[in-house]
Amino acid sequence: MPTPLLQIRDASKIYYSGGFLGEKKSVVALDGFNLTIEKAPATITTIAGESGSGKTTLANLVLGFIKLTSGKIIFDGEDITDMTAEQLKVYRRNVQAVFQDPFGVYNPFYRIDHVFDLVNNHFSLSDNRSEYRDMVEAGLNVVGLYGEDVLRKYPHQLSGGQRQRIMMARAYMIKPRLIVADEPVSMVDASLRASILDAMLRLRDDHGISFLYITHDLSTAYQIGDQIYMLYQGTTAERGTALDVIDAPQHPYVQLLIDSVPVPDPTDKWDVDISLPSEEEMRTAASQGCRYYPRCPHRMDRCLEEQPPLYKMGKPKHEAACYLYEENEIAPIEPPLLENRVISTAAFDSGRRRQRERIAVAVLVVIALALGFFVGASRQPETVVETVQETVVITATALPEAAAPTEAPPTATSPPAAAPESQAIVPAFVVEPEGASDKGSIAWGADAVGEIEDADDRHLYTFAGYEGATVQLKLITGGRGLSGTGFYAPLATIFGPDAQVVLAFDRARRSHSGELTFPADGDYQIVIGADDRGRGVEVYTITIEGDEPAAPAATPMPTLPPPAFAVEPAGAVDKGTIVLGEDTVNEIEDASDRHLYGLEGIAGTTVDIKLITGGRGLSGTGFYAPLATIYDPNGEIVFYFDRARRSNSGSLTFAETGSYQLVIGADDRGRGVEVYTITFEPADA
Amino acid sequence: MTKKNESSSDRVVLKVDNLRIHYATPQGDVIAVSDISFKLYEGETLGLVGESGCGKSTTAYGILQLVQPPGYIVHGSIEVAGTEVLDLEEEELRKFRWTGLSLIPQGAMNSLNPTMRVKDQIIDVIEAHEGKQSDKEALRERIFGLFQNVGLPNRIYNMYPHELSGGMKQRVCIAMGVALHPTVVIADEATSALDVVVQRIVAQTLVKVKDEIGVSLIVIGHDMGLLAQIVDRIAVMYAGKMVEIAPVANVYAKPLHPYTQLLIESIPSIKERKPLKITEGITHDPRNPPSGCIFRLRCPFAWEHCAEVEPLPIDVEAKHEVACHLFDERFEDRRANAYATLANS
Ligand SMILES: Nc1ncnc2c1ncn2[C@@H]1O[C@H](COP(=O)(O)OP(=O)(O)OP(=O)(O)O)[C@@H](O)[C@H]1O
Ligand code: SF4
Ligand code: SF4
Ligand SMILES: [Mg+2]
Repeated sequence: MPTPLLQIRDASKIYYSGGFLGEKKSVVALDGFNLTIEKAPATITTIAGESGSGKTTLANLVLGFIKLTSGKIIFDGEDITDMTAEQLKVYRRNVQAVFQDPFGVYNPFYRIDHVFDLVNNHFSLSDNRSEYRDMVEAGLNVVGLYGEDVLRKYPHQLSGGQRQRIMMARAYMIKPRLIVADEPVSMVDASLRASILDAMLRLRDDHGISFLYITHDLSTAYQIGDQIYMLYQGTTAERGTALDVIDAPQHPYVQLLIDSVPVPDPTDKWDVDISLPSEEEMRTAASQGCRYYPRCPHRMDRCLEEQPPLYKMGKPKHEAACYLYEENEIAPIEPPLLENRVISTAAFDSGRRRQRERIAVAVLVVIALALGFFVGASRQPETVVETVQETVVITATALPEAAAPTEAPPTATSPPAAAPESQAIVPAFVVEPEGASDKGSIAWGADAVGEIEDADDRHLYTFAGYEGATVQLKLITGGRGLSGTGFYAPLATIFGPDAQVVLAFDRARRSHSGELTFPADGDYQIVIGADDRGRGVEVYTITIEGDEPAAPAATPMPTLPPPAFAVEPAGAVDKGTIVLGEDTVNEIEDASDRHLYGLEGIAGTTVDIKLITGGRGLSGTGFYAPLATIYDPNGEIVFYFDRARRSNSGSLTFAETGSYQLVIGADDRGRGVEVYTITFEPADA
Repeated sequence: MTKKNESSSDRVVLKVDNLRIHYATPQGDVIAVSDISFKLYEGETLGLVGESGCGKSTTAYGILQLVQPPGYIVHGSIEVAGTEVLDLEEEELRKFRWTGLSLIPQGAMNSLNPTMRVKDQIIDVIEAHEGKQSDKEALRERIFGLFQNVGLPNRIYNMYPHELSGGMKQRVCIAMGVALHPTVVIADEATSALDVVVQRIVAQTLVKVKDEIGVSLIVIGHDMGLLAQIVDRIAVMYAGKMVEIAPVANVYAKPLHPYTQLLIESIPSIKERKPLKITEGITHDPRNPPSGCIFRLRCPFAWEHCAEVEPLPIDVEAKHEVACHLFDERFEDRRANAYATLANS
């Protein structure tokens, strides 16, 4: 068996952040990732996924720009981490990169031929001038260009598509075996993309160069890709041929993704309406279990246990990491081939274990280094996967009210939207908590997503209520969609701490919402079951929204980077002292006009600062505003406004008692302002 | 099933007439927008498309009188609900922005001030136009109302932009754009930086808010798939010229202008593998456009007449006009031939 061109095995990359004594955080950008690209025939392997899914991290790893936290990258039988300097040089020739911004890599002051001269110097392609010129011409021809059209031009004289193809030609001249192309077409207009994709196809078919094609654009992958890997938060959700995966996605995330690609046909409009997600939040999902769990409409308890492996789908090489396919065979991870030697699986497994241990040690070392000393404790640091997500609830469009089912007229007994105070309501249908499967608790502002199988399937959630507080409850369902006569939805009953029904959703409607004012403190329960005709629902989302009584402390002001422009107090006109709570209004003439205000600070107190400017108004790029810098009694800058914006605000906590100074001047382009108002208000007054 | 109201009225809310915008450069003026005219009807969503550099954003900035030096408006007229924007004094103009016209700029989500809470940024927009609001409670309710319009949870009120996802930030920008119920909102590439899933939510939010608040919308974009989903009419620009404006169904079913045809053909598909159709971008120097038709250097149907005479917009049916000589009655035969070629290719 020949060694594959590229083998990535159990590759993980963790980024660490958090500074000195600060909170340590780690972001798992790639987690236990496996990939194989065979030597022949040459292929285009697409890595696709949403922003932050780890695509660029993978590209940078393969290019050797960053190091793996654990795992292996093996190129033509050689582990790239163990390469000698000599081997690395060969590796860099074999693996070339083409990046997203075809303009960024050009020097605007040099003509295009300079790009090729640089390559020649660096890789010593040819000493012979005419041979070299032929090579350049051949390279350009491969990507559909001619030297006389482009070589004497400056970068800005070429279209984005031409610039990007020149990068391909440049890469081709080095005769690599693999080109890592990170979003090569995303900055290029649709009508010009084809030329770049065509260049890729020619390099693949006529010159045997394989591609690792990184993109978030599924349509180009569909047009030219061979294999595709769909990443979700650093793991492979699904892989297979681009045609199989995109035509018939199996993983719930991939299904959602493909369903969201807009169809370029106005007669085939999104026939579904979105219920605007009432909840999208910074989530801290444990790195345990399926990464898609928080958003998955099919999630099961099982999914939290451990990350799902890739299961085989019907088509060869088509695999999806989802427990919905647990019955299927698990796709084996081939042990890596090193220089034609097969490493025994046992050795590989123990290697994997060791790597896991190494991650733990690495994390500790980083923390220790950051703290400046080594912590001997063997505490396993907490690894969190932090992402900002949008919870998407896509449901079929509501039909007009009239389309509600007629079989079970619910109107007469339909409960009031909210329970009148301290009076239990009598719903037409009650879903009993007994025997329901406990789904844990829901926090205010979070939403719970689940599926109801049938009439026997009932889900119980708990949430905390505070007497007098009011929340909005929203139950949205989708999935199987329309029943014969309209939408249907599970029934839901909400019980108070004393087991009284306090709210019920019992209409056969697609969506329910209602307000609940808690009659008492304590645990409340929502029980959700099939609809009044025993039909389950593929997806429901229940959301509780409200301002929690004990509102979490407002998030701290992000620390300011150093100011780009400081306004110096020396030479500024003294305008007296600012009085807390009162507006100070003035005008800045021009760049030489600077105003200095005194401000008395008391250590530990916080003020909200607001700088509003008006008058001449908008500049071309937006609003502009004077620059302002605040100095503490020691002359250190503690706050500033230096953006070209009309208005700014922020808050300042005085570090010490004493006289602070605020200096205001023209904006960074020397423009004054007709009116500015600056206000300091005691925070949370 | 189309739920969207195709029934945008015949009342014109924005009328752009013969607008021309140049950017001065040492080598001569770049003609960014070249004598374009179009109308926006009440309640309508108009898509503005074309390859990068064709003048979409400059048009938007021109309408808002925000063209920045070295750009300048050479001539033209921009009428919003009866008001000539070009005649407004600086102070009136300042008031008019946000209330008459508002812009959700390209990369808007990155233009949020990172050091300001979401609420303060929205309050700013309101206070800058309506003065300091003394009733804080009412102001808060108003902002919550805006949040509801765009599907944001109230809990972001006190947050900083960095605590929000890209889609949420983009929605904050939409909320700011509609805060003062402007007549016309221009959204410049409002969803391009987002993933498809989030893009869909934001795009649908935009249209929903438009319907709820009753504004008219111009959506600038390059994703023909997305535009097919959300707009009523499409205006196609090529190198500063408006080459075709048509109801969305016409554009996709029977694009008329040769450039529109090219745009439609190059829409990437995830339904069928198609052979790649290779073309080049704008091939002339924007300081020195070709005589006659702007597209003739790339047009497969160009003939001598195209080099001599500039094609003016021709009305082919209601709300559908195209600037190409092929649609001049005198050249009907030529058009038939051109279409026959097309059908065979
Ligand atoms: N240098 C870094 N330090 C900390 N975190 C990082 C760093 N680089 C990337 N990350 C994080 O790693 C994850 C994956 O990042 P990566 O850039 O590889 O994603 P991507 O899929 O390429 O996204 P996009 O499509 O936006 O480019 C993200 O959560 C990102 O925030
Ligand atoms: S069903 Fe379970 S394993 Fe499959 S994607 Fe959903 S949460 Fe993950
Ligand atoms: S006017 Fe002539 S060159 Fe211009 S688009 Fe029509 S046929 Fe082509
Ligand atoms: Mg990336």
